[in-house]
Amino acid sequence: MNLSQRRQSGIAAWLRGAAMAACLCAAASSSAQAGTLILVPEGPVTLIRGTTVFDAEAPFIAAPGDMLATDAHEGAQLEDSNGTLLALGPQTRLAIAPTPRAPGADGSVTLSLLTGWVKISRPPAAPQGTWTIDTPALHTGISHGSAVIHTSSAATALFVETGSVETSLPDTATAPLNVAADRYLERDVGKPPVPLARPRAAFVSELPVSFRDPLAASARRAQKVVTPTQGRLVAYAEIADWLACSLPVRKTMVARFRPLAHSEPFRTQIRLNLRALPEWRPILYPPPPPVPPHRPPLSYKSAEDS
Amino acid sequence: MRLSLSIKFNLVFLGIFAVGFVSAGLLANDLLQRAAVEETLQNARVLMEAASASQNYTATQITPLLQTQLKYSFVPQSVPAFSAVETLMSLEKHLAGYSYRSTMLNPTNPRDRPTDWESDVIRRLHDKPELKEVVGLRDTPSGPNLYIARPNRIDDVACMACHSVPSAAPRTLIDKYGPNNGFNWALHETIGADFVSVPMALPIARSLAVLRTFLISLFAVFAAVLIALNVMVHLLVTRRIRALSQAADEVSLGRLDGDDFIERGHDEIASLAASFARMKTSLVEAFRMIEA
Repeated sequence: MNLSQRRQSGIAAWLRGAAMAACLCAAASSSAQAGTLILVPEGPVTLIRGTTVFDAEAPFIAAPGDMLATDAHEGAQLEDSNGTLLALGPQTRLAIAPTPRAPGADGSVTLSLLTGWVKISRPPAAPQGTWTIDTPALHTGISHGSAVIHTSSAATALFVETGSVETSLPDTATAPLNVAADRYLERDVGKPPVPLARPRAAFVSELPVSFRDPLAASARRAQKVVTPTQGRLVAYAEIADWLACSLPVRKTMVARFRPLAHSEPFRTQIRLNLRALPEWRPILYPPPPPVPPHRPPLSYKSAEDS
Repeated sequence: MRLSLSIKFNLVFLGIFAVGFVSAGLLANDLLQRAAVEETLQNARVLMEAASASQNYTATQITPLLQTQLKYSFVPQSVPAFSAVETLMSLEKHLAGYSYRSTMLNPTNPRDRPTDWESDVIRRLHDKPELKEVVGLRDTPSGPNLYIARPNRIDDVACMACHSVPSAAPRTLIDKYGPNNGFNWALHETIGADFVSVPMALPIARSLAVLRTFLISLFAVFAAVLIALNVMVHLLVTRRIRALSQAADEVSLGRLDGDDFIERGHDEIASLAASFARMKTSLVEAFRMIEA
């Protein structure tokens, strides 16, 4: 191991330790809150907490800033203590917004859905707070009721089963649109939303089978909640889509993953994609420190001149 | 006409046998036919109850669970009649010829539209609301069929959500069956009937087999009794009387030293033989005294 590799290894170990400590603190802090979120995996779930990646298969307390990804076959369920349930379908990538927008005292939660399926159910007795789900094409807020959202990088579809959902367009300043029960709304990024009386056949046929039924609290929630351990440092490929996404959560990425930019191969990957990640340019190529203002030399007139 | 004792005996016996055989056959046939109908009817009622139980179970426990699914696509499993038909369809595979239909005069699913004879039964049930059940026989290409029909009425207001007017029905139902099928049903009125049809050929064949076995057994018993009686009459009566007659003939011809009237036993013929023997002894003594 040469000096450069040893230095990188040391940095990585320091980052892992810092991330673990941050995770434990965050988990402990969030569990004390009224709006504790527990993620109950139905299969393998990839958790990115801080700059560390964990493979989780047992229930754990989700923390602000967590990025979750389900595998191709199984989903997971996010549950709070007020009866709100959010099911993730297979191949779904979701992030919990970092504080202060995440689990609030009023039960408000902001989530970013990058791709995949989620179904949310909020009981009428839930606190007043709103669960907001940001997607590239729609921002949706649900206070009470049940809705299913499917999103890709290019389009988002929403079907409201019960209650009503308030939506807004992230890229335009139009007034929020209220979607009532049994109504369907879809939108391609950059185009106007299309409300329909019935969900499209493709939406229904691709809907995860378990989403056809009302959500119920998972029986696995009774299992002991564990704290994810044995993580590894996140790789660029695992967060590339998050770094380049159009979601509000992107604004937090530089601050969060900045330490990685000092090590390889993350730094090189960022540099190669700098065109899509302009906010990283100051990190990779910090501007030179400001030069102190140049003082012109004093001119003295000789006594002889005067 | 000189008829032997045996022939007379056999004629009388055969006459009684023929009358008894035919009477028993007719009586047994009638009883077995009635039992076959009763058994068929009972089976049909069991099927009808099973269908009814399946419908109730679906209506009270399955349909509420499928309400969310109905928002995405129509789920026929949420329809009570569908569940009963599907359940009994599997029974029909194992019980050949048995069938169950839940028909409506204006059905949601065209599959449930009644045939002509079913429509007649439904109208009869509609016109006579006091009728709880109609039982009948009808000829089909595969033989006579027994059917039970019970009226279909909507007594649960919740069911009217799908059958009052199209605007009140789930959209997925309209998507599947259109706005013209299965609406404007009247609450508490006969709108159709459940039919259980059971073929009679099988129970009739079964009863005929039982009848055949019974008659063959009866015939065999009669034949055995006839043979046994003939043998007994021959051994115990005819042969012994013939021997006595032969001995009496010898005595009458003056051959007093011929066969004696020897009979073992203590029955009437033995007693007669003993009497003849005493008479012969008396005759021998009388002749001896005359000669002396």
